[in-house]
Amino acid sequence: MSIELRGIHKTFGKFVALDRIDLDIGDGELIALLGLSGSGKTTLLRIIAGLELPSGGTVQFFGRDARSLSVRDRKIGFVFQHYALFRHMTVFENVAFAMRVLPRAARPPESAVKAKVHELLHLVQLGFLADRYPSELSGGQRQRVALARTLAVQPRVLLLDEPFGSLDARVRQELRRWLRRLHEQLGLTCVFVTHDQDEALELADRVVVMNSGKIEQIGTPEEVYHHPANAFVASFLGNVNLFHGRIENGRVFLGDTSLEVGSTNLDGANGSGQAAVYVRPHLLEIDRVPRGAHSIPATVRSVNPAGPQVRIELIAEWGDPVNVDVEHQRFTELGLELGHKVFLHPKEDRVFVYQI
Amino acid sequence: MLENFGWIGDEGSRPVRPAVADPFWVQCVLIAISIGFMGLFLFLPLAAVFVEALARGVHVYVAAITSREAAAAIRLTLVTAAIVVPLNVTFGIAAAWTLTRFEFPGKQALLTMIDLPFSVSPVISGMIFVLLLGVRTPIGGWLLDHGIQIIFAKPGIVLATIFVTFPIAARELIPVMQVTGRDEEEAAIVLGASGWQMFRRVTLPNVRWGLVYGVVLCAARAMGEFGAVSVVSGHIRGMTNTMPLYVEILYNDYEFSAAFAVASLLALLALVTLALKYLVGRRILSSMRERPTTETVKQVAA
Repeated sequence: MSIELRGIHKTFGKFVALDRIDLDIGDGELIALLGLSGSGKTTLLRIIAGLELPSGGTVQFFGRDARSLSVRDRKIGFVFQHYALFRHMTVFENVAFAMRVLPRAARPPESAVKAKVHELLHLVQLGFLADRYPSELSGGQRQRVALARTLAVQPRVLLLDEPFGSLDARVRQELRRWLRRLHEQLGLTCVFVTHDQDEALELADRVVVMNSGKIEQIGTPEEVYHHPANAFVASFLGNVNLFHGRIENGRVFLGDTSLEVGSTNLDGANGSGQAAVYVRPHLLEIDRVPRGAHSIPATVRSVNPAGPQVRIELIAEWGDPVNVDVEHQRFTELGLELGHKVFLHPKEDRVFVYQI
Repeated sequence: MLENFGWIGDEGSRPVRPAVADPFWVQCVLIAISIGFMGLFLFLPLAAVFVEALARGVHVYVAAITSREAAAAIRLTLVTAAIVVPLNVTFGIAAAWTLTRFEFPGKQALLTMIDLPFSVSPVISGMIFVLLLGVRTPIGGWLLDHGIQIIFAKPGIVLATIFVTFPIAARELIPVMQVTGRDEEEAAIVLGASGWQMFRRVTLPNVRWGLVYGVVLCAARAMGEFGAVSVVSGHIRGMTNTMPLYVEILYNDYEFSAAFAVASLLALLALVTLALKYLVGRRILSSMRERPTTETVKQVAA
């Protein structure tokens, strides 16, 4: 185990930024801390790095209590959200910094520094920029220089704060793939913070979903997407339709319609009472005629065929808006027009029900 | 019908002027007023200093600024500045660091208190030291018994100058350090730098132009200070006279040429300061422009 967090607690004045966080990060894992701004994800990352002290709880690094380790001894690489390159130094000097500040006895000779810097710049494919200043680089280039600079400490753990946050979409895609390759190549333990669910689901081995200082769920991208542990995770990851329904003796009702729900998805709901029901837009089927007693009647409000799927906005019989994505072929078959009355069925049993 | 809206398409028939530009005659009047005012109240007096200084020939001028007493005044002024500027810079860095890097109760009060010497009349600044350390006060008396005289001696001049220049470096550094933010310093620490290495290799280079600006302003004020120094100095010729005080003495003795000769040195000093200020100010602006502004603003807010 690389890093073990136990009961990490952090308060700023009266504000509770982190509320008793437990988290184990394995060797060579790529972990995403996913949450909205203010969820405490960056604070958690800074505590792992040692840039912030926890108000309570312990951090273990490879079996050693982090309190006994200075930031320097932790051997972590930290990539800041806005890269924090030293603006008065060239790219070369930025990357060489970690070697230049080593204790005199451990400091490598200038020739070794040069070789190492060029090796790292080659790794991030920026060797030709060694003499430039950070202000002369593009966002993506700065990001890669920041990574190269960080790798110079030969970190055991790489921490990245919103690594792609301030880049435009195309560069972001490219860097994402590049980081994944780098991770596989170097076998580093990586933890990155993001508010972008696509980024987390695409890149991470495991996703840690955070909300107001607490961990809502830890799991593989597949687990958190297909089996969200609670209402927050369900609504945060991917698009969902939210229906306000009720539970009666283990059966779920939306309006007058009773819904077929697989038993595994009823974990969060037993007994009776109000319920929040989440269904993803592409997991709803549309029919012109009801299919048994479990169909949800709805009316077509608008149609947007520009995209890989046709996005249809409907209004359920009891007034909730519903979004449904269908294949273009299916859409043509149905011949839907505005105002048509249709019937919706959740596919398989992919409905999430949470008692509220 | 478009024709009904006469203003569409008839730009050619009317001179087009940007909405924010003033008419030509307004511009002329404003420029004339500014230049006339500056000429009357800035350039004319400054020129008068040099004309008056050289009115009785270069010999008199050179003699005036190389006399024993003049040399002593110049030396005392330079020594005072040499002591005050490093102290001021040290305090300025410490204060700016404290105020921009830590959160603590009373921070706002401290920020306000730093400006105190600027808001107090220099004469009062001098009086404070006379009342505190004068020969007839307990502290001053005790020090005198041990052979140390502060007031009406050189230490008093240094103390008064420290007091009046107190906020200068801090005032210049605080905004620069606020804009720079913590990110680069934290990056240095994570990369293994010690606190001192971080300060020397990252913090200091980032604020260097702000610092130079502070030094220039502080040196100018330290050499030109009159009021506070006048109160504590005692005006002993060749002993406790700084250049501004010496100018006054010469003037009161009707030695106008000599007075203006020494005054011209101070005026030259002011011009050099101004030139340095301009050059350094440009460097600060250009280094600010390299900074990622929106991000740092966010951090300051957080």
